[in-house]
Amino acid sequence: MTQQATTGPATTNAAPPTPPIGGSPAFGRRNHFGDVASKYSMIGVLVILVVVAEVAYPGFLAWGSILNVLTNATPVGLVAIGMTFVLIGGGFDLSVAGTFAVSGVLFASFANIMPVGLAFALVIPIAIAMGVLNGLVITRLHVNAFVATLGTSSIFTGAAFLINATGAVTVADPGFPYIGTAVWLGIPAMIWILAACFVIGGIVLAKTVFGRSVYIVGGNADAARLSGMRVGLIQAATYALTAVAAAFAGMLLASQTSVGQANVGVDITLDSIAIVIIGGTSLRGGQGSMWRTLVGLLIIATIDSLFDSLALNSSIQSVAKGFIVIVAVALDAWSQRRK
Amino acid sequence: MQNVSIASEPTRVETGAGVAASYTKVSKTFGVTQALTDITLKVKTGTIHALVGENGAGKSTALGVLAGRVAASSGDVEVFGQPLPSERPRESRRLGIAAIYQELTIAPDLSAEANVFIGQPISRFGVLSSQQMRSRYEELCAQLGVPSVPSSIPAGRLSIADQQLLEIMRAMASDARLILFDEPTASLGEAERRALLDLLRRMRAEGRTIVFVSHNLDEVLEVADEVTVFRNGHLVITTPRSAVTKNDVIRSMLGDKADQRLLRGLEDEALPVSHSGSAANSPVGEPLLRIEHLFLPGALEDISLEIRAGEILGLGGLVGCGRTSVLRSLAGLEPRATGRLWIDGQEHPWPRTVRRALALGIALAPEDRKTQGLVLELSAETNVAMSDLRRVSRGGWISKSRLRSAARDAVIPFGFNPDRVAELPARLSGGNQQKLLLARWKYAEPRILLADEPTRGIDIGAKQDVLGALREMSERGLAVILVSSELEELVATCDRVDVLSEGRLSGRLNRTTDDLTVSAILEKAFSS
Repeated sequence: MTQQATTGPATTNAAPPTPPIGGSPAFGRRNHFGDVASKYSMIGVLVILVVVAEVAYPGFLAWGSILNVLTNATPVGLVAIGMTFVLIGGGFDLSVAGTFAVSGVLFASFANIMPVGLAFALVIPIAIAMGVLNGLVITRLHVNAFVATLGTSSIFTGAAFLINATGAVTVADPGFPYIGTAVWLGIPAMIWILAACFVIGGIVLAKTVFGRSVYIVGGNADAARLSGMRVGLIQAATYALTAVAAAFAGMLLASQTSVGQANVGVDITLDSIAIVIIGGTSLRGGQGSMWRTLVGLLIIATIDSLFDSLALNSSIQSVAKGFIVIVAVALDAWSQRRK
Repeated sequence: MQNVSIASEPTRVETGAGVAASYTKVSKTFGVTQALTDITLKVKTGTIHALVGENGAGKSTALGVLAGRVAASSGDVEVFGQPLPSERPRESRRLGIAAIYQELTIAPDLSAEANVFIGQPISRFGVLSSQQMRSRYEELCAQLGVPSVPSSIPAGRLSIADQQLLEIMRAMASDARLILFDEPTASLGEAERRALLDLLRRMRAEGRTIVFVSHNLDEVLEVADEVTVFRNGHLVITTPRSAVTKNDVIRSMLGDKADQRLLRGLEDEALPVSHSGSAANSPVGEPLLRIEHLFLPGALEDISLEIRAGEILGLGGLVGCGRTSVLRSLAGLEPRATGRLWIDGQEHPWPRTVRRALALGIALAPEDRKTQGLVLELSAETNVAMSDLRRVSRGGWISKSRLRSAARDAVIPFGFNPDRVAELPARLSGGNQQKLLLARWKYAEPRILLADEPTRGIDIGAKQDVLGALREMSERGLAVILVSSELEELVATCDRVDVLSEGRLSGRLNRTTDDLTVSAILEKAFSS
């Protein structure tokens, strides 16, 4: 039939966890060239952006500048790692900004009454509970993921202000800023953490039973259910994972600034989703990969840095980013239609 | 012969001489795949023209070009003497073409009636006239010769066969002059199939032209005036129906691949899966699965059946008789189902979730392989192993080599090329997709496999592979419950056939004691 014979060249998101290489058969093999070209096209975009940034702002590629850009990108990068799991699993999470803010405030509040390490360890299970709440509302109450997480986002953000009415908790403990400001082997600890999380996230997604299950559930939930998979559980796990990522990010930012603030991170929801989508992971679920999110992160970080260096105000940045997200999703839809 | 008919029926020849659609050197490429090569074909007005060929031979693409769904890469297409602009479904429709695709285009949330009038509402001064639409709807049902499809319930809740009837009604409502069907009878039961073939003849009598793609050669030869055979994107032959036999057509379809064994099987008018007497015929011991008093509100009334290990039990009956509901109830997909169920003589509560059913060893290969069966954008091997990823992993880590070898082992019995397990199902033919779906349960080894229309819309070679593999799995102790609208297939494959009619069991046929034939099944199916 025609639709099976259709092997059009434009398949931006044809990134199966096991790339059809090696034992790939003769049929349609050369068609993969088109896939490969568009699969790696975002890397080309990144390279062009970096060149533009370097030309517009000589010194962009200086070591210090790079470290600075990456450090700034760490919190949103961590959230994007979690968001990658959610989107591939066919979900959507608008509550990460709330989780991010409330975790920073909780961390700071706890750190004022107990050792920093314990405060950190205590926030993690709370974050898991927040993610599980998202998962339960979506998979058990069958509330649409957009609406469910829009609701929980409001709950979490409100909770952050309830914990501290002024919205800012300063911490006296000298150990509190350590993780956010330490430099290990000449590179900020934040960057080490981001890199480690990308590696771990990438491996979990590509190599483990859990990661593969996320692809399957996002690719076809009905088929997964009929195969005996725990679809709800797997989806809930992706929300829990994302909540932990957002909490971790919020705590790192609090540590970096020595203050837990309730009004931070309002942009982090759109930014983290934008990063994943710009990298080429599909909104429809079942397709995508972690390296794509890394590319997306570097693209967004470069654009942010470029705008900052050009002294454009944040309103213009916001307008531009909105456009970029819409264009990225439209391109994804277009390439799917061409298949 | 022809001279005589010209002399005696001048008017008939006049219309027959008109050309409804003509292809001139039409080619179509998808990437580097050559789907159509230099097709030149004329479809005469007022005839039924069948396009046949194996999966991927190009027949659906040829149809898609006419429908405006597929843009030809080169060549010209004319419809009723006017050039057809490419890839403009609206233009195709304006020129009097209506298309009914294999992939249904039903809006699942709209009512059945609203679906029929999509794009062609009956209105007065811009206000929808529901009364007129209702009566036209009833009229169309009557024309189709089927009991009225419930008009007000959402179309998505209808069976696939009923959804297809809606599509056909949509084409009829549009008064199209050239109607294209892609596998119109693939999901229909015997009664609906008969009615549809009659309908095609009636449409022809009204002067309409029909082009249809079908895998069912018997119906092609029964109803078509002309037959065009495709092979590998080439047009092999266009011939009047009267000039060919079934074997001629099969030879043209398969070309050099025409396998003597296959031809012999078909000459016997039986499917090429020979039935071998099996363990099932020894009635000693407990049945593997026994169910009693299965009720499903609105669908099933007091169904009881049993099946032994190594047996293939067919469920026969007309579309809508409850065959699929029995399978869905057993698979844990119908939480409202009630009944008693024994496995190996031990009673278990009725499974109300898929996981419960699987824990009992009951697995379903669903009818709709694309929406319920496969994950189209993940590799074939993942699709095979997804029912139990732990088996190809260690400590939560998937082993690539174990995944690959397990998938290869599972697909080989189905005649699926094991070198293709890394490919995406989205790029495989319907036959290969079906093989993957069943290979999943070869890999996971349930004790009872429920196969719902496993041969729907796939070519003869793939059918043979699929049914042969099911037979082989059953000989190794698997119990198979098979639902198929192709009654010949049930006759050729099953040890026993339980016939349902309107949600009740209306007859039991056993190969060893009864005359297990198509007519016997039909008689029971109509005997409510």
